[in-house]
Amino acid sequence: MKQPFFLLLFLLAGFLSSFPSQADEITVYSHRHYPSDDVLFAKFTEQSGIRVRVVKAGADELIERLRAEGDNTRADVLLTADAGRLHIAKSADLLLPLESETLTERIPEAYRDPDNTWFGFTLRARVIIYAKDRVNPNELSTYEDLADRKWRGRLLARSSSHIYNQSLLASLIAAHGEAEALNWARAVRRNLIRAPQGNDRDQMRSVARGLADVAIVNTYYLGLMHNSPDPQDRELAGRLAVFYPNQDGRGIHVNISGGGVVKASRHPEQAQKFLEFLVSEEAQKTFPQTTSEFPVLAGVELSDLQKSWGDFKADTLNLGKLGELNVTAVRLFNLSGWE
Amino acid sequence: MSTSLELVSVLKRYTPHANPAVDRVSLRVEAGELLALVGQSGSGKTTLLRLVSGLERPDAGEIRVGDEPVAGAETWVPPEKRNIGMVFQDGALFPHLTVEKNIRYGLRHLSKAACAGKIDSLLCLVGLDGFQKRYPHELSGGERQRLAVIRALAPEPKVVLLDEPFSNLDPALRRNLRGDIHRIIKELNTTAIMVTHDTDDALTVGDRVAVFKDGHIEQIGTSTEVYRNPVNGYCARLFGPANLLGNQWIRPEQMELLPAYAPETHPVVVREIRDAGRHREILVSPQEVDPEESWIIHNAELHGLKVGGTGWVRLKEDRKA
Amino acid sequence: MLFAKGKYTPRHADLWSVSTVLLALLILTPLVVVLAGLMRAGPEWSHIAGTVLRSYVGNTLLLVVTVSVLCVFMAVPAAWLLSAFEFPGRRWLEWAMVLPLAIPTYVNAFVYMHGVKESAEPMQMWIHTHWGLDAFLFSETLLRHGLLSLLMASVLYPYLYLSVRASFLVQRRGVIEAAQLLGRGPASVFFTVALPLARPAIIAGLSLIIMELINDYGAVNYFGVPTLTEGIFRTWFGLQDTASAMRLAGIMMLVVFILLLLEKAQRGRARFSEHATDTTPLAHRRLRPLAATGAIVTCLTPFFLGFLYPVQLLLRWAWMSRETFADSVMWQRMGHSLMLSMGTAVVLTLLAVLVVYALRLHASRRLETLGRLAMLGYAAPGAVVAVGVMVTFGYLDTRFAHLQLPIYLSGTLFAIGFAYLVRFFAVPTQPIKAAMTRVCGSLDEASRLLGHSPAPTLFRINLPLIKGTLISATLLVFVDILKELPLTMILRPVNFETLATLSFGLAKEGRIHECAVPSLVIILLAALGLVALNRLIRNAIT
Repeated sequence: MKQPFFLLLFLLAGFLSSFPSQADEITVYSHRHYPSDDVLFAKFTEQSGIRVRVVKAGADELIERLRAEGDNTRADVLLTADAGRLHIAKSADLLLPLESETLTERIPEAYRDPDNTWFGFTLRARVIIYAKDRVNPNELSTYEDLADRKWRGRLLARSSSHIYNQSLLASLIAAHGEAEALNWARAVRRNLIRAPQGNDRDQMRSVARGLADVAIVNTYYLGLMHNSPDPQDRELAGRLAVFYPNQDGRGIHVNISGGGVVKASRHPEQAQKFLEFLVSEEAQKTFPQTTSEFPVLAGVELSDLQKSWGDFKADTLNLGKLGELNVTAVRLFNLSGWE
Repeated sequence: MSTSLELVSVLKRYTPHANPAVDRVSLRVEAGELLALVGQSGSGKTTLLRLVSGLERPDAGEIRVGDEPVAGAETWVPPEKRNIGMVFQDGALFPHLTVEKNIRYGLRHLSKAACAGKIDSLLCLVGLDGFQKRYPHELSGGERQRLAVIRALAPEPKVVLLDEPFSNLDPALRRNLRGDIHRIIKELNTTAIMVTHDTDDALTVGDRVAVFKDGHIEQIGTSTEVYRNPVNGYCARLFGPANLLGNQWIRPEQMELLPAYAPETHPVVVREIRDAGRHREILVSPQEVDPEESWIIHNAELHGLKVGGTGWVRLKEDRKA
Repeated sequence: MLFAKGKYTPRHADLWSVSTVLLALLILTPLVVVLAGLMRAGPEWSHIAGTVLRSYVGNTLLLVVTVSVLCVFMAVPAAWLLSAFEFPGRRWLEWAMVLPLAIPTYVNAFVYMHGVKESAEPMQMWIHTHWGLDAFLFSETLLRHGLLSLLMASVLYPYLYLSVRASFLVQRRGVIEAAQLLGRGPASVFFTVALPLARPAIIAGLSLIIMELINDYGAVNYFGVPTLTEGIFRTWFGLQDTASAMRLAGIMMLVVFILLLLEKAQRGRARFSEHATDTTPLAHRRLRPLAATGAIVTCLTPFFLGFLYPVQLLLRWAWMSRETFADSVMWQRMGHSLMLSMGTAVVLTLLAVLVVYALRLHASRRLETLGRLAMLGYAAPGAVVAVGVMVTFGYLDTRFAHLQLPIYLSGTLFAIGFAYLVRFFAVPTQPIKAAMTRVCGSLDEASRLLGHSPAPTLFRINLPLIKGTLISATLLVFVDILKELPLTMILRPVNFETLATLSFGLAKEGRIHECAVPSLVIILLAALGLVALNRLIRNAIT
């Protein structure tokens, strides 16, 4: 009784999930959901004649799905908004190593996999923002300094369940080892003026309104806030400034938005072309304007807002390392009491 | 057209260890016969109908319609294939269908024209002509039950089962309808079982009457047999007062009261005299049987006897064996 | 084995019963898988137990207590006032009190976070400067937990209101009147007679509220109060430990089952004492102006907190982001989500019809029990069901991987549809069952005896007769699927958004104004669902 029934189930599921695959079309599994991406992909189609089919979902779900699909997948490219997930995909043997001079030349070493399975195409800087009217930037120096008692009751950050905070802690583990990273998380949690709540933008709003003086956030959220439909949001954003920490040391913590070609891809060449397009000058120059992300390609012009924040030096630690340390970071957060 | 119905040792149990609802019942209803099945609620009589109709399956035993088994160890005919009609207690009329469509529902093998003719003549038969387009909620209680009966009879079933068809009606209407239904069933010469808890219904309508108790038949026979010669106290009391004399159950109207000793009489003391309108009831206590016991005698001559006086009781002629 | 004894012997098995048994077993599989997960500790279990487990459990319990208390204060006095007294606006309020049910907890969380908590910041800052950091931290904790409880209670109290009001309506008029004749004033009657008699209804309503609370993911996540549900997410995706996530899910399921049993145990006794013969409703006593004002305020407050306030704020946000109305992609996605929810709802309703009808055909106790077990999913939190389905399908996928079938179960629409089936099967089944018993009586049997086999009977008699119920039931499931968040978050296929995930995703990204539009669509449709619910309740009474 059971066997034919399951067969029926399989048939049903297959019916729901199968779709035709064509040579001049690639399927992109993307964690990014920006309308500007669609415009960019259309430009790629125009240039290469390769159509792009985008499937959007959370990175964890996409990776789970790639795992389940195995060799039967229709996916050609996986795009995520952080390196940790790309590392997980690589460890699960889902990504294809590429030999592409374009990619290796244009992308700095830290932002691509040493084994060439994944490549970053934009940077996201996790920095300190502060209220212009209450904080003298000279008070600020490093991430490590945020653990100092002088910040008690003046600091804001989002929940530890978010991948951006996990990556930041992973970078501290890489720099100082687990014990010190744990102490740092504990101390920073103590300095937080309230238990973490809301997203990066909420932290910034609260700083602008005067609840706290500084917050740990990603820069592009500030960009989004400057372009908000809410006039109050735009006004609040004007009260904030960006501080790039650790400029005398290893540099700021950056993460990437990046991608790789799926190992079971049926169109690896077209998929590689797609990744190469994303680091082309033409594509790179759009990111600062549309998503307030930093380009990986050197020499691309930044947006006025980004320029106003000044230059920065970024940590050169290979981002694959952050992926390896991610679970450790989650455990340390749990131990530290940072919710 | 009509067919006999036979049950052989039919057993039905709803819960594994409880007493069976129908306990190895064997029964034969002849072709064209109307059997009244009487018993108190919970005695299992409705279950018996549901077994015959196929709405329930027996755990053991066999049911045959004509020569054909419809339920048994090897066979099972689903209800819709049995060609057995049923009149439900509440009528079970389809509220979303008109009178005409309710009847036509069971006539799907007939052409539309043939249907119409048949429906009209059946409606005439029960005095519902002209009601074709009405909906069930626009009918009175009696009309609804009549409709239920002809709907069940329209497909010319081999057997028709009536489950307490009058129980929701007031007494006057009830007597009326009872006569009508009896007439229709007889006119169409259909084999039928009617279940009721009302003994009047059973005695009036049934060709034979079966007394049902705790899942089995206590007594079966014609109305007269069952009424006059109950086999035990349960059957006796079911149909009204009865006096125990020796091991015989005697109806009150079968006794007469004498002022003096005569052969085959029993001495009694008059306890109470009541006028019940229809008849006079005399309560007496039999002296030699048990002074604490009391007998009821209907419509007997008092011969000047008063409460407290002693008289003599004997059986009427027709009761003597 | 199932058919071994008693009434249900093997020869009774037909397509109806076999498919019902199979369906029920399928529905039960993920739940059993989760319970089995209790036995297994994942690699991170000792770490979780040593660090965060206590706070997951503590936060969950704290929330349960505070929300329950708030709900009692919001629902019970209002229900009594509306049942026993007459005052201006009573009829309107009777209905309005239920409306907050249309607002998902997570949407109310966005509203209270940005509408209330943020406006409280100046006051908090004043506390900070004048009373010091510790006073501020205390106020912050108080405000966070207080607001979270308040926002949850203000949209969940209608469960309690409905059940308590129903109990006031059927309470024996004689008892209340006797108390009045014995010289008790209205307040005394309430506390000595009405309230004690309503106790079973209060407990029944509260258990529903607690189940919804345990199920919630969006609101607690947004307010940064990690509960057990949030713990499942963190363990699964943060620590990448499936086994420990399953164990957490198993713990939650146990908690809910215990709750369910307690509720059932107390109700079993209550039914005995509540059997009313005279169910004429209470005569509404007219209130004097001052008392009437008090009554209106008592009823209006929860309605304001749970409906008026969030809806007006969402409307304002929607207006601010009105440019995005032109965003065809969003509307397209919403349309997509509506169609998929509707499709799933229709399938669920059809399956419910199948099972209910099979139970009618076979009055078998075993089948009945199985059918009842299959409805347990409604008590299981969404995240728990999701974990169960994900693990089950993942196992099947790997188990049959060697067959090289070009298909898989995990991450498909089929998987999420199945999970909705597990979680929401009871939603259409209960009203359909009630309707068939009430409306169809012996009609289908009459049809069988008139020569129609089960399937035509179903289509010609049962279904046309309960058409209204079918539509209402479908609408109810539809709304439930539309609002569902945690299960959908875990299982949704790539490229699949429901209105709930769309709105939650936008809010999490900080695009709070844009999230107002899908949120309002959910609320509108859920209000429609309430109309359906109202119809079902009315049908059940008459």
